[in-house]
Amino acid sequence: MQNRDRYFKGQEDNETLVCFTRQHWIVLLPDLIFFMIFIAFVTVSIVNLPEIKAWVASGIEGKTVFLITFIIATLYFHRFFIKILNYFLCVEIITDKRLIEHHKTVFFKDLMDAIDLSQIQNIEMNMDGFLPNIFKYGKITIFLNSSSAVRTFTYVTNVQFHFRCINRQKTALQSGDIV
Amino acid sequence: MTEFNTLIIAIGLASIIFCFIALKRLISYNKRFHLPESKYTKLFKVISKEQVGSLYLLLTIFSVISVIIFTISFNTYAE
Repeated sequence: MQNRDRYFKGQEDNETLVCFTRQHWIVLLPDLIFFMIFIAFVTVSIVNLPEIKAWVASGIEGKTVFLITFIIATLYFHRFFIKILNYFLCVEIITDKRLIEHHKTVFFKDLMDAIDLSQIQNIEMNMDGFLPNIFKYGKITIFLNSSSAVRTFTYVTNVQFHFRCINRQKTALQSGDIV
Repeated sequence: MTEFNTLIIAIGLASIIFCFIALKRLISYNKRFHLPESKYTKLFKVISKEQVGSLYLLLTIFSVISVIIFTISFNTYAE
């Protein structure tokens, strides 16, 4: 099998991609709510444009306030979109051999961590709370057998499916089905 | 053109340049990671990162042009 770098940089020759996932959209909920408030603020400003225009044109105070508001709005706008793009760049990849966690941001961070499925001793799934059960997200905790190390993946989308998926790959690898 | 107008245009240009740099980095990421997207990996099951990137670019250009037109128009208004 020639799978080297087929789906992601770092994929091995004999490694097959099973699936990948991102965190649940609930992690973006506070940002989305604030962005709605921002959009409402912009809409109100557009509706009252003639009054704002008259006030800004009236003197240096109006211009200063307009400039500061424009700078803050621009910074917030970029921060929001960069955060949404960062959400897309952070993925957890499940292959038939490894569980790869890739935490990347557009500008600052690029962290890749792989767990060998043969090193996994136990997997635990946790959907604790009202919202996790409604939206089917949760936490997967992985206990490694080499040491007392524990890895936790939070806000996993469709957590039951991914729990089953990791478990099946681990069982298949440890029973020798996958060479 | 007043200094105020120049400042607004400079901030607008910086905003567009920042957006281009962010999208360029996203494109370079896409070249290295072409994971098969499905409805379970998209935001709200429908929104892909390409759509977010396009929206980001369009809104940045639109907002910068709007603010520059507004700034020039109220200078005319003031005169």
